[in-house]
Amino acid sequence: MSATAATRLMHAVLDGEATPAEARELEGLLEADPALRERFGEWRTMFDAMQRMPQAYPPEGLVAAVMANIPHVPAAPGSQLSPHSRVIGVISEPHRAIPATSASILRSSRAMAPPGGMMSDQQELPSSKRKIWIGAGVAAIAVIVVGGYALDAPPGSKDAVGTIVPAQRFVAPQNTAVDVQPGQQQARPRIESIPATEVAAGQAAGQAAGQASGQAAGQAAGQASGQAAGQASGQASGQAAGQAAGQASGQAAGQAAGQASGQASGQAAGQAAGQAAGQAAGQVAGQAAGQAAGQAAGQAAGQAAGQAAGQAAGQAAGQASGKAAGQAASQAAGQAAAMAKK
Amino acid sequence: MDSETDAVLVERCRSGDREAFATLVVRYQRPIYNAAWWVLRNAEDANDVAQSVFLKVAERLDDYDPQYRFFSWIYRIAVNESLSMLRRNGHEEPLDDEIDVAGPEGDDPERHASDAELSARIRSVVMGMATNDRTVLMLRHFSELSYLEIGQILDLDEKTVKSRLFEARQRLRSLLPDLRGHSR
Repeated sequence: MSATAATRLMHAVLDGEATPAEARELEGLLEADPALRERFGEWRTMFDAMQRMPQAYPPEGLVAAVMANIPHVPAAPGSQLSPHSRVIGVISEPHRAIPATSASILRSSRAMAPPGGMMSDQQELPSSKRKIWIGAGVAAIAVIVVGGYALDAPPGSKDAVGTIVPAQRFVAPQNTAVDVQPGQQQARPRIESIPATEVAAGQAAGQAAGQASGQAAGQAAGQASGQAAGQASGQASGQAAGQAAGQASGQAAGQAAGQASGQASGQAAGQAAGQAAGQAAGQVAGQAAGQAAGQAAGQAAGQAAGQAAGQAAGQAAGQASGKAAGQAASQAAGQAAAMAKK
Repeated sequence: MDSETDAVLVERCRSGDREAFATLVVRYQRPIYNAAWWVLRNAEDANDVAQSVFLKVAERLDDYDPQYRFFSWIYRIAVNESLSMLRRNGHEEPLDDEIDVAGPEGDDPERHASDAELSARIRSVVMGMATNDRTVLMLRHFSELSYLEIGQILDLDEKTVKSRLFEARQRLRSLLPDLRGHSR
């Protein structure tokens, strides 16, 4: 095997990428060749040293800076913390049509928003509110219409039709004796020729027809007004619910973001403040302690020195004065003795 | 949350969970910063690139394929961002003052007696090598990525990765003539 091939094999083994067969092959080569074994030892030293290469430390504010500049994390549609709830999302649909090149501009504008992060969505609320008021108005009108049908006031079409077919109004006078005059029979032949059974049948038919048409008309009107009322109230309640959900999710997302960035920045600020406070406190405490220790030491030293000096001085002075007094006394006594001899 | 796997955190990020994203940033800020620093050799540029990498990760999280390691994916973005910055600058920035590239010749072997000193010296020498050499050495020895993962990051096949590593190591070895005294 060439030297280069052997070195490649060594690298594969040291990288942990060699197959068991390659590892066995290298083992055999190393056993047979001391020089190769030495070279393998050098490579292993280099590999080991490279594994231990010191790491650089990122600056402390990196996490906070990243979190402060991230407008939002991509969210799956319909997810709970999605920045766009369904209602607001529909309103903001045009944003998605913005070309990719403009996306970063949109995001950076969102980055300027407070930690809540959903202010851009909430700015669209006036339009939503207007729609809610319109919906509520339509719903109120619909409720009045439906209520009117339910209470039958004013009179419904059913009753109107019922009175338009007044079989009794025409028939009842014809049956009275006042109206039946001799010689005037030709004047009202048609009326007289209608039998009572036909009149009854007409009444029944008219009533049935009136009821049927009234029912149909009433049903159609009721359905239409009911649909309108239901749709309006559904839209209004849906918008309100969507808005509430959007606000809630926005608040939650904003809170989470605020906490994360707040923690990071708080940690950095706390460290800096802690260092500064510790340094200041240390200086003050050191000064105070040094001063107190200096004073105490000075006092003690001064006292001791004063005592020692006082003692020494007193002793010396006593000795000197004793000597002088003794000398003077002996001289005086000598002189007195000499004078006495004389 | 710190103990959660990358896959779980990524899934939560996709649901709009910013706290999960902050955890990923904390987890990878150091390796990503170091990767940028190895390529750019400048602390300020490395910081800029690291921030840019995490912003891109947030933007492209939907593009991430969970069948690959998240670490490899984010590393790929970091290396590409760093190389792009080098190209934009048009030239390599001078080495930071803190990086001491010691000459291999004339040094006292006694000075490099300890393993820590040897590691620091090797780092200095690697920092003086060409971008391609130090990038591939960084990915293998500092980030401990496999040949396959290095290939995925650099868009190279495994054979080419092996070859580049071999040549880079040969050049590095030639810059460390006194290594023989350290071998055990």
